[in-house]
Amino acid sequence: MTPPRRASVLRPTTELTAAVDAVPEAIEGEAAIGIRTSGPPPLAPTTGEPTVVWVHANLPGAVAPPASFACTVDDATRWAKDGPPAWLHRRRLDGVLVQYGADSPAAVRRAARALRERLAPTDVAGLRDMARAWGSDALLTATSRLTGQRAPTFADLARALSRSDDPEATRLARLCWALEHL
Amino acid sequence: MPCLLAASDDRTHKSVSPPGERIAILALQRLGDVLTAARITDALSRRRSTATVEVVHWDATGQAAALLPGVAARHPLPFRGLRRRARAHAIAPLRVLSGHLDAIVGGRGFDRVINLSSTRFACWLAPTLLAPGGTICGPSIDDVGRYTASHPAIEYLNDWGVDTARNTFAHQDLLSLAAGVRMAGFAGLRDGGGRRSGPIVVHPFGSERAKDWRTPDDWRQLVGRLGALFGHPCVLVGSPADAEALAHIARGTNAKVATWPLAACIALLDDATGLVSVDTVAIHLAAMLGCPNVVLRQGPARGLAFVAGPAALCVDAEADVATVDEVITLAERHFSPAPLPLAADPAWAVRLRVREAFRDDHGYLALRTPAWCNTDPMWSWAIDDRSDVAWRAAWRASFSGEVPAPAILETLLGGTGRFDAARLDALLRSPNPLGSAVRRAGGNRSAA
Repeated sequence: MTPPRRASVLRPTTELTAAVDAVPEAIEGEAAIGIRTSGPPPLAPTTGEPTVVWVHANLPGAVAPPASFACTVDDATRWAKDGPPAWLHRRRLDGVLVQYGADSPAAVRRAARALRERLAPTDVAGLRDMARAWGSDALLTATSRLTGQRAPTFADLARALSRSDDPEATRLARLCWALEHL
Repeated sequence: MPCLLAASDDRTHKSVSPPGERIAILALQRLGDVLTAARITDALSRRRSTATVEVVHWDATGQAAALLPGVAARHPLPFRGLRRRARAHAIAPLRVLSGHLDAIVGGRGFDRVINLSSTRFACWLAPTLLAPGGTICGPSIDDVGRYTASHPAIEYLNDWGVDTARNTFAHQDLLSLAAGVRMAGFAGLRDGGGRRSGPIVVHPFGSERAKDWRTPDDWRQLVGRLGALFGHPCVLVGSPADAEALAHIARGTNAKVATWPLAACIALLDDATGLVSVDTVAIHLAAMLGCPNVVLRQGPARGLAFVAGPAALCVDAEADVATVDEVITLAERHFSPAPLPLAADPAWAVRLRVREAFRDDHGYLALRTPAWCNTDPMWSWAIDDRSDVAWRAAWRASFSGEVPAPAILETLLGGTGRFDAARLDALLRSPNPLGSAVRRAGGNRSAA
């Protein structure tokens, strides 16, 4: 049956990107130097969704999730060791999810874990690095107050931010409490 | 058919930075709940003191937000995106949320934030949208982490509104009251009225399985017989995810399946003879278009919380769920322009609670057993209806900061409805001013 008006499709179209063969040469701080990439241009970050990197072993029948960047074990291992390509490095601040198929071999899982630790650190040092990359002094000060080995929660961040009189820290603390209850 | 979007856009073409209040409606809710904000956005946008009304909503409810009248800007927040980013690291969703809020607030902030959601997320978020000196209507959490209701209606909503037995108000009315919007005065989204000659629309699946009515085979039987009764095939509506299940129901009935966006469903419901639905977004859309609807309500959907509008006939499963025959009889009665006689059926009256929605003298949505149900005035449903009236009167006075009349307090203390004991017990333990008044009245009664 044809709708009478504005018959737009509800479901978003899925987009499956080709494998990315980016070969990073050096990463220095937040600036990527001399990066040589041969992969496709990254997706424009307008979808509200985080970037998904899907690690695979080039086995037949493997299908990457829609709108993810496929990445071989070798690429993932290299990126974890030497640093990701510039476009991916830039996106880690807005969240990069590293995923693999449920039936992936151990090599894929190991490579994905290593890349995840590089791109999406959850420990205090990693968050401090992210705060520095964001350029948020309030958050940088707050992360310097965090101690312990476990990954800080939003509530931990909110409490650390609340210890400052900086209005921006107060605002971010409120947003952290909101996210704690999302 | 009204041109809703055009009407909305017309009001957006105001001069740059007009004087007056910049108002944010925080509608971080589900589709149907977002639709019920229409009365608030419409009323506020018509006030001389209003510069702009803007809606902050989840990206998944963009279709409902697009239908709200009088809205100058709609700001979607990425619910799924925030949750998925939180799986990467804590700073990712924080940075994205902060960026969205910066873009929404701009340099000025909002003079008034109306929060329509009681979630802690929304309560923490609401104050971040405020301009210095601005006010919040609805629930929020203050700078030292205390919950603030801001209005007695919101206190009631949180303490009583979630209990189907105790609550006697529609949530949308309580939220409108807290937003300072008159109960009456919203004509809905349909221009002019006129006869309805379209098909019967059927929405079988809600957002929760607990709200479902019977089996797909029963729906098929219902759809086939309703189509034959009213002379043209029914139209089955639902989300694209339900397309296969809807096609299964439609098989062999000549019914059509339409998994359309909400805006497209407006044209369908605007001319539809009626809607048969479980408790879901379709009833709210039908209510705004004045489309008569029979709502088959189970479990948490019963009670007064989710009454969509005066065009609804609510069929609540009490001892058992309504049968196909009963739904057809009720639909025929409710959708026919001329009243049809309805045979008395004692078995039916015991098993189901059938109530029609209406706006009471104060403009609040309410439910009552219709006169044509042939219910014995001493039957429990009728007693419960009278109990609801008394409790609504008491709370209404309390919302205005008044003490209810002694006769009303006496009625509360001597109520014999099914829910009276539980309501009174909760009220006697409540620190609410109405609780104090009832305790005093109870003490006087004992002394006498």
